[in-house]
Amino acid sequence: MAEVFLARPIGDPRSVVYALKCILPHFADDPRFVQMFHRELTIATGLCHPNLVSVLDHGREEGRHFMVMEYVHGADLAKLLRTTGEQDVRPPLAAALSVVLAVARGLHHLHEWPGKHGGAPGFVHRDVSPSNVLIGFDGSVKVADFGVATATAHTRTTDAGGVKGKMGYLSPEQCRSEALDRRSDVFALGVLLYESTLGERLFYAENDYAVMHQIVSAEYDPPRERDPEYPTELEAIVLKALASAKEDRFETAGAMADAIEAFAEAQGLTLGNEAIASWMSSLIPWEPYPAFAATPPEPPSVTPTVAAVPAPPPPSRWPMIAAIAVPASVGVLVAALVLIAGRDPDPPAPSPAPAAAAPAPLAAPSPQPPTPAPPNVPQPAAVDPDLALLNGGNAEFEGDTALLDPADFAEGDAEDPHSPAPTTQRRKKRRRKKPKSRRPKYDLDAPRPPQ
Amino acid sequence: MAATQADDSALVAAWQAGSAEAGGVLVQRYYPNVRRFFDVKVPRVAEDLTQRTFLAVQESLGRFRGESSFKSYLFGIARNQLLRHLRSSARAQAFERKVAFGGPSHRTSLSMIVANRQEHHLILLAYAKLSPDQQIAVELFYWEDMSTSEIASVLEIPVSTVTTRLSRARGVLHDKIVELTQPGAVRDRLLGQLDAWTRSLVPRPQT
Repeated sequence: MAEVFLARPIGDPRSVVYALKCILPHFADDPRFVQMFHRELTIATGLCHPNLVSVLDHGREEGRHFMVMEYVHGADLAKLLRTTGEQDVRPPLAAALSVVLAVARGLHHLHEWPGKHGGAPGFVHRDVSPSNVLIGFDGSVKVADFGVATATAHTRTTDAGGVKGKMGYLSPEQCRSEALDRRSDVFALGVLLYESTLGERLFYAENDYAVMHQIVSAEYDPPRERDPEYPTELEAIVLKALASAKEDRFETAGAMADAIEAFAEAQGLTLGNEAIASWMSSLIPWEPYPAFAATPPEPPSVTPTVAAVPAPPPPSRWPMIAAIAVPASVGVLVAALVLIAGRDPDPPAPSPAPAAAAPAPLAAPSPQPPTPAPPNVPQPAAVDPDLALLNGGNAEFEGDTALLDPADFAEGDAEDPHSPAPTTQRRKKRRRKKPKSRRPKYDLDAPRPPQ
Repeated sequence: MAATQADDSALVAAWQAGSAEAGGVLVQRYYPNVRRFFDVKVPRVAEDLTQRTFLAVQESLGRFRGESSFKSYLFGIARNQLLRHLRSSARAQAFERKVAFGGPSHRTSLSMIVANRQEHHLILLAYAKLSPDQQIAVELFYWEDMSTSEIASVLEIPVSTVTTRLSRARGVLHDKIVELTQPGAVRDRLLGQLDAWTRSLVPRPQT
């Protein structure tokens, strides 16, 4: 659905690097994906916590929606656990607990967040998994990808196709398509704690329904069955988070974080970024901070491109005026941005790039229209799966959208329950783009006997 | 169905006589069924096992004497491929559990089944509780419209055992759905017409 670029403002070579997430061109006009993109924006914009990935800006250029997020220089937890498993070792306990503690703190902030317009808290991430936990080489931990997060008030209870999140990290109530609250994320935290401390998958089977069956039936080995030396007190925390009945779990992610901290203190374990960084350095060679191999070319005039767009959006503070395919040290595409907010753009003088890094036009400031991708044909991800942190931490992103119900993105399903009423112009636009549900709606009052 | 079987027999005979075109027609006819057979159970390797099944059919074509329908013969080979995979997979799972973090999701393609209603979702959750041979019996009976004698041929068991196995599978589905649902309209509707709901999981041509 989306591709992610490394990016920095044009003309500011000393700027930190950002992650620029764009809807893939062939999804750019699909209202479901646009709505999903906006869902993430609505929730993430304004969130500010050291354990949550910040969204710094967003906009639309040349018909493509984009958001600018902070870049985490490191890897995702999935890669760390996978590498640990390949080496047939177990994650160090202090590091594993530090990661889960940080994730719990970040999620607690999300759960408590009243939204950018204020109001009662009630957001649920719904997709807490190792792929969405980004870990910096400095040991920092950030939860990413709010693409399927939602306000509690808007969780659905009856659409089977609306099962969201990654298999193996769903809560029992998610598997049954029941109403969710923050305790659903607490369950996922329990899975994360189990897997991070044992270095093994908890719920794992040949197919999704078998996995979901394991979850709803609580068919799993308690930690001490997998490892008799697993601390009893820690097992109690895991089992409490994994309770099938949400009433039996920790009331909040914060309460679970407190329990982890208390356990660590009792064990004399020192938690924190250093423990994580040390674990990471034992697994993954440090990589230099992404550098741009070539000075971006002078941005061509945006006028022809803008003129080609039927309904040009309002000017963005971050217009993407050029994108160049330069293999960066981390193997992703590099996009170039320019900042024009509050000042005149001062594009750098064009300098000849080395032949090996000759910039090739990627996104459209070319007079030639981009070749349209064939409809409904999945495109290979433009991002190395091992660098999934740049893909919203989610190598499964595209696949996961397959189960999303178009109705979930229907008008009125605003993610932020406190959002002000949209403007007239926005309402008109939404009416035009309101997706038609392609699946029969499930209606308790109007049963439709099977044929 | 009888006409299709007769047609199948003629095509098999032609295939055995060397007509690649006849083989192509049979493969095209049953490819979606075999793919679905694997897709709901082992989606990660569904494509591979489907290919292997048809390859095995082609290689063993000379031994097919027509005692059973071609469809039974085909699903018998598919079952063997499935069981072989499950055995090797069980051996590999201890290692997989340690490294299967991240990576693409392998979800059953929703185009293969009509899991767009809560009732279907619940049936599939309950279906996961069945043993592989119970799953196969249910699938062939409800989705492939095969007779108990054809299913007996696939599972290599007596017809009476097929009947018993189907009955037990229905019981498991019933109990599991009771466990998964609260008393109410969904449960009543599902249990009241469990056969029809199970059958409706597979898209059928309009008649």
